[in-house]
Amino acid sequence: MKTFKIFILVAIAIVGFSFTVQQKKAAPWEIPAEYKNMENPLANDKASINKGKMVYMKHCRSCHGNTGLGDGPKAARLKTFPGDFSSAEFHAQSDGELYYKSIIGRDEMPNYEKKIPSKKDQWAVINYMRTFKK
Amino acid sequence: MCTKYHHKKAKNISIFGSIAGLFVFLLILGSSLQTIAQTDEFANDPVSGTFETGLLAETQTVVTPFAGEFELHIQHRFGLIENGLEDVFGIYSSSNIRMGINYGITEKFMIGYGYTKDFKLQEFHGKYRVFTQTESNSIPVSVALYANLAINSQDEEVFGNDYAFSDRLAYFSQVLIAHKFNDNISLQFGPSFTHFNKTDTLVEHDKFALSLAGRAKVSPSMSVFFEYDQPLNIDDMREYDSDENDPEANLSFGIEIGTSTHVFQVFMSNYEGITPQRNTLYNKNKIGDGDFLVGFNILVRF
Repeated sequence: MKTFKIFILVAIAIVGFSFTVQQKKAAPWEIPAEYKNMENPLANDKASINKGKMVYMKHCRSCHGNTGLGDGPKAARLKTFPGDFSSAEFHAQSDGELYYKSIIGRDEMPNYEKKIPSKKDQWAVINYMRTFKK
Repeated sequence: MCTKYHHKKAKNISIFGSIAGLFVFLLILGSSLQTIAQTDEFANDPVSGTFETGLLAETQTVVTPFAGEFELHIQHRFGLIENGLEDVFGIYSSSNIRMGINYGITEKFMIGYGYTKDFKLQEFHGKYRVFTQTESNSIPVSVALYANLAINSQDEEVFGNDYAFSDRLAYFSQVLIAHKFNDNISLQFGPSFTHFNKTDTLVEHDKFALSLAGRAKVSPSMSVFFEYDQPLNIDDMREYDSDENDPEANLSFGIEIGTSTHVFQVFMSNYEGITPQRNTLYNKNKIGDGDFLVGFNILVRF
């Protein structure tokens, strides 16, 4: 009887896992040239990083995780992997590209122009994400 | 009685002076610390996040929702903590609840509706942010005007003889002046005026009050805050000789956690009415007697 119960549990688990949707890697972004070449007007200093941390912890951390690894509490429910902000690939992007992805967004990555209305806050969060370098 | 009366008057005037003085002093101190003029391109931008949301414990703040944004509010006040474990510090005691919704029509103007369990109050309110503090302090404060109309929807007989619909109406208006000192500390001063068309026997119809509120961030998403409300029981405005029905001051203090879509506030407070005009005119819970209760506010943005 015990073996039968274990068998049933394993069967349920296998069926359950087979329906789990695997997260796909994000498709390449099409970033307008005006954003690609956009200069970050905010000095990358301690004050802006602290401000950026406040904004990040409020708006970004739930999906992107405390250290930008894409492992926040909401991340598992997303269809697309939110990205690893500590990777060399991430840091190879310009501030303007990061700005477009972070503030303008697309699909599951929402637009934050209204929720983070201050330009200073918007650029501060870019400066903070630069600290996730490995 | 007379001496006690004059003592109370003197005390009220002194509290009025103290609150206003403290706010002005802190404002000057804060501004002088930021005299290094910012010449960057953000200098004339409005400051962000003076407060987490438009509500802090029992008071409104200068913050309004974004244009097109809805805010759902759930406000809950348990009973007084005075009975200790008998009713688990008021948790099993009778409570007061308000549910409301706000909508940002523009970046600076919001309207809202809510209903409160006690006295079956239906509330309509609006807030307009006149000025917003700038990064360089060229505008040193944010200023907002707030107005609230509460309609008591209890049965007609509650209002006694000669009932008229206007007996149900009570008004609250407030000027909110706030200064963000830095990313962690903000302070707000708010003189208000309350008017009830009909009150209980020997309760005044009008009341001026002052509010001082502040918050300090202790982590990127958590803050501690306080709020103090002082009704001005001024003799020259008094309708009746007795000061027995004078409302009591309120002290609220607690913690706030803010995320992108939610704000949670858990605090201790003397106020149990939730609706500001009700609190200002009818509060009988004394700070000195420890008449505190536990309350929480939950806000969902969508």
